[in-house]
Amino acid sequence: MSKQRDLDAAERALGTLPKAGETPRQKRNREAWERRFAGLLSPIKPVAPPEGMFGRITERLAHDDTRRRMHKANARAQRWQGFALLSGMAAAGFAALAFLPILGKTKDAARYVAVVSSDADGTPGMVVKFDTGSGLAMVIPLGAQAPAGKAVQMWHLPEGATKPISIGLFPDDPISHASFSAGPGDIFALSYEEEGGSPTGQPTDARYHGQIVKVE
Amino acid sequence: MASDEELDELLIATARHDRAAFRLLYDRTSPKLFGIALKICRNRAMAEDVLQDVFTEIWSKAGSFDRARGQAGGWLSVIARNRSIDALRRQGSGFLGVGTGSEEEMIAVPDPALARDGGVEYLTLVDCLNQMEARERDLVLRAYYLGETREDMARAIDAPVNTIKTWLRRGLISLKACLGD
Repeated sequence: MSKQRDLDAAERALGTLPKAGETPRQKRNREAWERRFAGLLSPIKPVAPPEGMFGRITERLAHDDTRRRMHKANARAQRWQGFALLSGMAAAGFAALAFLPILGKTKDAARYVAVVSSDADGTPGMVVKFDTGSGLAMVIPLGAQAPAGKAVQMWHLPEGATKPISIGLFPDDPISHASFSAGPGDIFALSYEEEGGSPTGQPTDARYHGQIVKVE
Repeated sequence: MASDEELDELLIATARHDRAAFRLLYDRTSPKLFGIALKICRNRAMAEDVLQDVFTEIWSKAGSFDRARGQAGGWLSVIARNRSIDALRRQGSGFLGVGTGSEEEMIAVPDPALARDGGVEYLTLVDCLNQMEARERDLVLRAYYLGETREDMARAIDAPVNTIKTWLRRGLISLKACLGD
């Protein structure tokens, strides 16, 4: 390695040159310098972090993970909406979704729909609809099924919230009303729980996720 | 921190998203990493945010740790230092907490007797830093501990940016020659 490139790597390790756009080799050279400098951190005294810090970290990881899943689910939901319009709404799930704007339609209201789909194979498990005009929330159960001896529980994670809120066990009725309001960025999920619902008040084994999207 | 081998194993298990290993890794390393964040950020709230960033990054990037290229303790400490510098730069100047160490204390060459980990390599590094020209060494340490850019240093010691660059690189050449690797 030329002396110039080596010095550049050292400066990237120090932070006096930017790291952005490094090639893999440049990254390795910078990391070699980072290891050399790491001795400067050796005498620094440990300080106990605050109580509850690990909980904050795991909450953030769960939140980041949910967001990632939601972005995927959101992209799928948007594809389905396009597909539903083109396909003549063949499948029951798509038909339910297509009729949603008619239900509780109110002038100047915003309507939101979430297709809550399986993380494993993308099949829809539930559709959630919320109309800001009527303030009406609806749940349309689709294909989600719990394994024997388990129940399916529905969850709502409002935008910016760190913990999901239970919105009840999966209903038997084809369409049921629910008492929550939703808005852009909200996330819905379905989890597998013991009969009777989650013992902790938080999802035990979330298997379906979906982010709410605005529909015209 | 715990033994190097234990940390290596915990980090490798964390790469497989083993939550129990991640918890143990946190228990073993968070005081050291929080100490690093506090020393560099000189602000407790900022250091707490950095610690969260650090462990979020460890969870997602543990798979890129390669024990053939160095030990987990150093790898983790570098993440803590780098995220601390990122946080400092995001906040800009004037965010330092009350009662924190002076700049002179911040950029002092560490006392060899204070080595907590790093062994011979650490002692060699301290020895080589002590052999450097003082003004060149100060620049290296300002960049490392204070996160200063060349421009920051030019303002701080009232010298042209090109002069800073020259001194800094001269210092790095002599440091590399002394370290002999």
